[in-house]
Amino acid sequence: MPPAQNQTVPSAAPRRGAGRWAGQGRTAWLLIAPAVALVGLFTIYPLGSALWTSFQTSSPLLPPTFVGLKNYQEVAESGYFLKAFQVTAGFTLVTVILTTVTALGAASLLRETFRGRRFLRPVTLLPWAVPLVVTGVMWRWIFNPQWGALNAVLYSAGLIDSYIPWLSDPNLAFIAVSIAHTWSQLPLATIFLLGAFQAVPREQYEAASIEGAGMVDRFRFVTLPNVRTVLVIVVLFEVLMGLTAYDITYSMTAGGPGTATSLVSYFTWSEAFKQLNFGHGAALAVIIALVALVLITAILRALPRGALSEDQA
Amino acid sequence: MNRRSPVARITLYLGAALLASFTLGPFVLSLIASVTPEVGLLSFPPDWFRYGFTLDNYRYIFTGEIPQSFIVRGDIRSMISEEILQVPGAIGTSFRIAFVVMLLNVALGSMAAYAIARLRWRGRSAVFNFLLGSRLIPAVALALPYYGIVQGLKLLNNPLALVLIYAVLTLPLTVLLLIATFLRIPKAIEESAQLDGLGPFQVLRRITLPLAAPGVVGTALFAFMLSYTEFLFALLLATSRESRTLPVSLGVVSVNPDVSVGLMHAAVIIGILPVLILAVPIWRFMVQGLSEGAG
Repeated sequence: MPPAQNQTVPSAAPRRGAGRWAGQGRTAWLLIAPAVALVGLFTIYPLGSALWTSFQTSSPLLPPTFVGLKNYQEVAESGYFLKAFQVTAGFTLVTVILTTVTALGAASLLRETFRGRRFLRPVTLLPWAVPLVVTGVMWRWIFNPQWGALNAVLYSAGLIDSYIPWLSDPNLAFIAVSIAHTWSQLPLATIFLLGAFQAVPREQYEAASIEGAGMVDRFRFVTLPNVRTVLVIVVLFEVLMGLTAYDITYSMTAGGPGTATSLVSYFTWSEAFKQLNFGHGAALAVIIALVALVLITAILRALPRGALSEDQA
Repeated sequence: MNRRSPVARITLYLGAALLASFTLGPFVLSLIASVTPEVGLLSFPPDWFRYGFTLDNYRYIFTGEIPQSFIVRGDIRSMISEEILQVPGAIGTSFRIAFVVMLLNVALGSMAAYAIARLRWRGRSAVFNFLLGSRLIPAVALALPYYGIVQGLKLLNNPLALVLIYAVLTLPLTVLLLIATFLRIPKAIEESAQLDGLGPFQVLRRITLPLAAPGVVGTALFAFMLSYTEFLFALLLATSRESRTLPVSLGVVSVNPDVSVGLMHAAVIIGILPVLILAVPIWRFMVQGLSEGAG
């Protein structure tokens, strides 16, 4: 399991001299036991079980036999896996950049005061409330090549002469799925950045303005350093969401056309539950978890020192 | 910041218009699709509004009354129709599951958050890191073992399995948010309750929780929302028609290529309306919490 580096542990509550409750340790464990037991049962055992299965030939149809690293070897040599991995890497890169940049823009905008802000702020959160599989359904209609909404709108506006094959062209389908994913991810990224923006001390902007800093300079030298921690967390979260994306492609493209939008999660899923090859599925799952672990560790290094260990509240 | 240059004003309103149309566009288009007769939607050159609007799709989902246009064209598409008739029931299933998960989160989560935020004990940060770290495991890595566990417990197609799993998925976030909420309550109030002889459980129940109520409600809604929208595990563990949650039900309808666009989108609108309404109170809570917490 990924080591969550010194996270936001709030500094211990009553320090010396306030120990009115004797034996706080026992009470604390009583309070926390149910949550820890539940989470522990459903993470430690499953992880061990996945690891164990990944070293076996396993399928509901055959008795399991230990085969060492054979599953990993077979999976790594399969062309489909490499393709799915490439697609996922590209998808993650594109959507992380799209989401982060758009969210920075949206949060900068929503921080300003203007007519309609009271309306726009809660509206920005709405896509987050939509189940991702439904997001796929909504955007599939927009991008439908034969009678989709986008084609209809562009055609009626006279911007195109013939319909664009959004979901039947591999490159366009990849872009379409990335846009749908960004739509669903934008709200949370925006809300976190907006929270960070609002916490930047106003005096710093005033000082920068007095020194003659323009809008770009103020953003670069005042805003960015102040929101760096939150920005890193947003990127981290979006990397995880990109790597593990599944629902949208399920309903929007089913991984197609061809393998253009076939993400690793989707591939793992079909290996395990359509091909019923649990060994391969488990090996793939372990590989995804390891890749996620490496990326998380790398991204956390970008945090300012001590960003998560100090008392934030 | 009131005196803006004309260029800045135009940029601002242009940006706002862009953000609003990107965010709202898909909702509006779905709504249009759900009330426009199919002849209009499929027409070329596109002319959606020529045939007026109809609520037939909605009526069908709630009453099973087959839309006129379908009968005229002779294709009743019974399979789809029946599947889509499950949507209101699936909303109920999702609501019940998410509600129980929410209660579990408030109970177990507030206890855990209180222990971490207010009590001193060894292993505090280890437990905290463990809880948060558990959420970094990709869902697909857990899916296979979960299937084994749930099958072993004979809970396949039983909502209890999803309740347990969603509680595991949401608890770490709930604990994190509740710690932040609890830390905002002045310690002095709790300490005077301690002096009055209240134990930790009583302080939590009678003092901390009521004082933290807005934050607790926001956090609870957050957990509700995550459970209501989950798809991957529900698709795996609750496939029988009676046990399907809303996302699975809509997912099953959506992969059928014959499905009528209008019906599909009527189902989408009905399915997301309940959670869209929840989004506004959650927004209030989160913006308030985030800007206070970071400041």
